[in-house]
Amino acid sequence: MFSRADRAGDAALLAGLALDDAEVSVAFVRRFQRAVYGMAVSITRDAGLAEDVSQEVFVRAWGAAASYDIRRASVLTWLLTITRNAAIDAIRARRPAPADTEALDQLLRDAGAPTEDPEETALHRVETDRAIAHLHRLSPVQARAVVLAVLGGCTAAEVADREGIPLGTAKTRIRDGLRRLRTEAEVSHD
Amino acid sequence: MTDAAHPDTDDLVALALGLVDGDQERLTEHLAACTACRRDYDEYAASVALVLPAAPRTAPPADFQVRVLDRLQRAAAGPATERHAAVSVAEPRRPRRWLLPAAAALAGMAIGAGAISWWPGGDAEVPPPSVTEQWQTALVTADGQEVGRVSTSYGADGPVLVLEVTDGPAGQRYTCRLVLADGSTQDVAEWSLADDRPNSWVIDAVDGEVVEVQLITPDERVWSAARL
Repeated sequence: MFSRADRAGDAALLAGLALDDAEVSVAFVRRFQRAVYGMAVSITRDAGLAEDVSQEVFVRAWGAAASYDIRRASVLTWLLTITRNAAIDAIRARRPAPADTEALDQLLRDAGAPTEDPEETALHRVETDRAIAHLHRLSPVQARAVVLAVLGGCTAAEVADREGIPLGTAKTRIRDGLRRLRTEAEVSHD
Repeated sequence: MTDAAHPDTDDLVALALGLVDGDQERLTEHLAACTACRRDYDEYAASVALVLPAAPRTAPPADFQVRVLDRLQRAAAGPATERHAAVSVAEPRRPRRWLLPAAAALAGMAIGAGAISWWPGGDAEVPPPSVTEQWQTALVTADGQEVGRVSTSYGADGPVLVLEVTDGPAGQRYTCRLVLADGSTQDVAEWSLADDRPNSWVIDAVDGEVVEVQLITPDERVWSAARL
């Protein structure tokens, strides 16, 4: 597990954001914007909507900064949780469109390997590598289902459609994949 | 749900993924009272959180940071209610309406309004060093078609211009030329338009008063211009 000291850099920035410190706000946005926008794009698959979502995420983070609990999650995970929720809200409100096959193909490729972020800290690199390592411990079909559901915001029905499998199979892959992730993570922390 | 007392496991998974449609209220109410289901839900939510850092990193549009900082500044200047309730990684979400004030609201500046009073070389009134966008003006082609806009902003390092092309030929390359008040020009960048990402760029401040921003084709024609 990460120590509190490991997380202190990000947490300190978040605290500064809550205090409306302009310099800290710039640093905070610069540090996290690629991750936030990347997550928003992977779910909305719409650059304009992803930008709207990402802007809203930073405002929500500013508003909720005081509630951040360093014991429960890293700032990166906390922020990406906000992003994911906001992006899913956005596509529900705006996008009746079917899944974008090309974008999902790209997501499946990107989620399996680290992507470049010049502002990324060493801690973020470690978090990212661990998340990717967790995915690689799943069977390929489970990993694809989990990536589509978690990072692509796809429902089980959309995963079934995308993968050409029955709905029940899609649900099983997502459910078992998530269970196994948790088990593997507990084993790796023992 | 398959059971009157406990929800189906797949419903808990869907809730952890934020992808429940109909029964979300019922599910969240059940979780508030049922320790066993809450524990299962927490496990799935924790698994979702484990995967999040694997999200792809993507560079946002060039002026994204300026726009975010502007919104943060507005939020800070607004009523205290702007500060939201706690956000939890594992807490099941209740259905809510999406708040999408976002970029459209940012465009709440009158086209062509104001003057470049705080641009270097402009008149004396200098606003506080914020990231507030002051105004914007249309980017127009020779035949009068509006193809984008230029706005002034204040970034972390000082004043900037933000140029956004909303309508143009993908793949076309342009030189960004600034025309100064003394008639001189400065070529500050070259860009290609794309149809798969926003075409917006940030132009750093230059010495002298900028009176026009032009996009120049490779054969030295003015494709579009914005009079500031």
